[in-house]
Amino acid sequence: MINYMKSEWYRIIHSKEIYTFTGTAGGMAFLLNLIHFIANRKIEGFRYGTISFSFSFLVSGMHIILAAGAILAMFLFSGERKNGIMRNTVACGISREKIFLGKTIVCSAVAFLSMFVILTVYLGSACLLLDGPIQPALKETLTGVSAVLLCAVASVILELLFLVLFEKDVAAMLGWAAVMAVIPKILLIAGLKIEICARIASWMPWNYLSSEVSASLSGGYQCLWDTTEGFMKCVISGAAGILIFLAAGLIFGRRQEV
Amino acid sequence: MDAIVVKTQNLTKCYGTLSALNQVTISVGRGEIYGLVGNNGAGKTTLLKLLAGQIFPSGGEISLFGAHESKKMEKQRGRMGAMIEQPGFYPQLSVEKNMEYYRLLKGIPGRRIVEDVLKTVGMWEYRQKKGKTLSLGMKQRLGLAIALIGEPELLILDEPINGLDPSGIIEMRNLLLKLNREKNITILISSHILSELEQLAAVYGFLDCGRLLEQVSAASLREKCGSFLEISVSDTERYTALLEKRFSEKDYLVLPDGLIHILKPKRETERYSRLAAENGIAILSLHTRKKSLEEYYMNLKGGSRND
Repeated sequence: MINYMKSEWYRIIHSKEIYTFTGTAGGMAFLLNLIHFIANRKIEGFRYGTISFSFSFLVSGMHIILAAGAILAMFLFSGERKNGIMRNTVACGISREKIFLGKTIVCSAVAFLSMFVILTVYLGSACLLLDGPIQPALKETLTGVSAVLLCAVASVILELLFLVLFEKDVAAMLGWAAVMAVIPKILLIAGLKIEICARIASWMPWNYLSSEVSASLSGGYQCLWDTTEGFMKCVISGAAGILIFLAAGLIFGRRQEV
Repeated sequence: MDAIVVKTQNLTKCYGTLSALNQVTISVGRGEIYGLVGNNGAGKTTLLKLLAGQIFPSGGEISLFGAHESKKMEKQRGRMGAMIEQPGFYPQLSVEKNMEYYRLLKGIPGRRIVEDVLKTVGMWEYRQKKGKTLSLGMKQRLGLAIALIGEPELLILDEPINGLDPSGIIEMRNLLLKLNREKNITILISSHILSELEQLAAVYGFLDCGRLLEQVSAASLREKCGSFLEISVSDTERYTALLEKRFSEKDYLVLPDGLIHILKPKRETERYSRLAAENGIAILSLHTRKKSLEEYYMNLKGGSRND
C-alpha cells in the first residue's frame, strides 16, 4: 500500500489538477477580499469591507469545505478507470482494499494541504486588506474549520466511494450530493412527522451546518462549535462518516470489476 | 521453481446469461510463449483479465506460479506484467513520468530502470512527450514498457501489435522473442492476426465462443497442418457427391467461394482431376497446399465441414 501511496503522491504533485484547483479557489478567495478592499476605498459608507463580514461567508457556509473536498477528489481520481490505470494497478497485485485505503489517505492529505493554502490566502488577505478587528472572527472561523475537518475527510471518502462504484464522474458527483445533501434534507422534512428521522437528521453535517450556525453582518457569530458539546457533535458525526464510508468502500470495492 | 506458471481449471465467466468463458482449462509452462487464438468475442480478453485479477471468475480455478488462493495470487501478480485491452497510463503525464509512476507502484529501487526499459522498447527519445500526444503504435510500446518494468517473469499481452506499423510489428516480435530467449520470460499473448502468432508461439490455445477448442504445441500443430488439396471445379455439388461415392472422401471442406479443401487426400492428385474429367466437370484450379494457422483454426471451428 505504501508503494501505491508513493506513486499516487508522485502523480498528483506532477499533475496540474491540484495546482489548478488550489490556485482557482485561492484566487477567488483573494478576489473576494480585494473587491471588498476596493469598495471600501471607493464607496463611502460601504459596510461590508470588514474582516468579520468576509469570514462570515465561510462560517455560515462550512458546507463549502465538504463540497470542495469532494470536487478535489473527483479532479484527482476521475480518469483512472477510463485510462486503464485501475486495471494496471490490480494487475500489479495490489488489492482493491489497499488501493481504496491508499487513495483515501493520499487524497485526504492532498485535500488538507490544498485547504491550508486556500485558507491562508483567504484569511491572510482579509486580515491584510480589510478593516475591523481580527478577533473573534478569526478564532471562530478556525474553530469551525477544525470542527468540520473530519466531516470533510468523510466527504472525500464518500466521493472516492462513488468513483469506485460508478464509471461516470457525473454519476459519482450526483451520488455524493444525494448522500451528503438530499437524503439529510429528506430526513429533516420526514422528521417533522417522525421523531427518529428528526434525531438522525440533526446529526447530519449538511443539516446542522445550515441550522445551527449563524453569522451576522455586525460580527455576531452563533456557532455550533462554540460549545464543547457542539464541537464534539461535529467531530463525532465526521468520525462516524469516515468509518461508514470507508467500510462501504472496502466492502463494495472488493468485488468491483475493472 | 514451478514448471507451470499459469494453470486454469474449468475456468468460467458469465455476464448474466451470457457465457463469456466456458470451462476453459489451459496450462502455460515456464519460458513458453503461449498464443491465444480466437475471433473477436472468442473469450481471449476475458481469460487474460481473469488471470490479471481484473474480473472475477464465475466458476473454475486459476493458479499463478502455483498459488490458488486469491490473496496469494495477488502477491504472485507482482511477478507479472500485463497489457490488456488498451495500454493504461495517465494521458496528461509524460512518458517518463508515467514510467516513474509505475516504478514507484511496483516498489522498484533506482530510476535507472526507467531509462533501460524505455530504451528496450524504443521510447527513450519520446520520454518527454505527453501520453495523450502519442500515436497508437507509441501507446502500445509504452504499454509494453509499463508491463516490462520490474523484470516480470510472466508477460500477459492482449493484442500487443494492434496499431503498429509493419516495422513496428517486426520490432515487437523480435523484442518478445528476445525477452523470451534471453530472460526466459513466459509470455501469454493473444492476437487475431494469426500469421504473427505463428512466428512467435510455442503453444497455442484455440478459443471460440468462450470455449477452448484445443491446446496444442507448435510442433504437433505443424504435423497436423499437413498438406491438403485445394480444388476449384465447375460443379461443386456434383463433384463432392462423386468424391464421397467413388473415393469415400468424407474429410473435406467446402468454402463459401466454392473452393473444395480435401484435408487428407487418400489418392494421388491426378486421380482427383481425372474424376472430374471423366464426369464432365471442368477443373478450374488444383493445388497442393499447406494449412496455415488461420485455416487450421477455421477447420477447428467447424465452418461448413462435412463430417
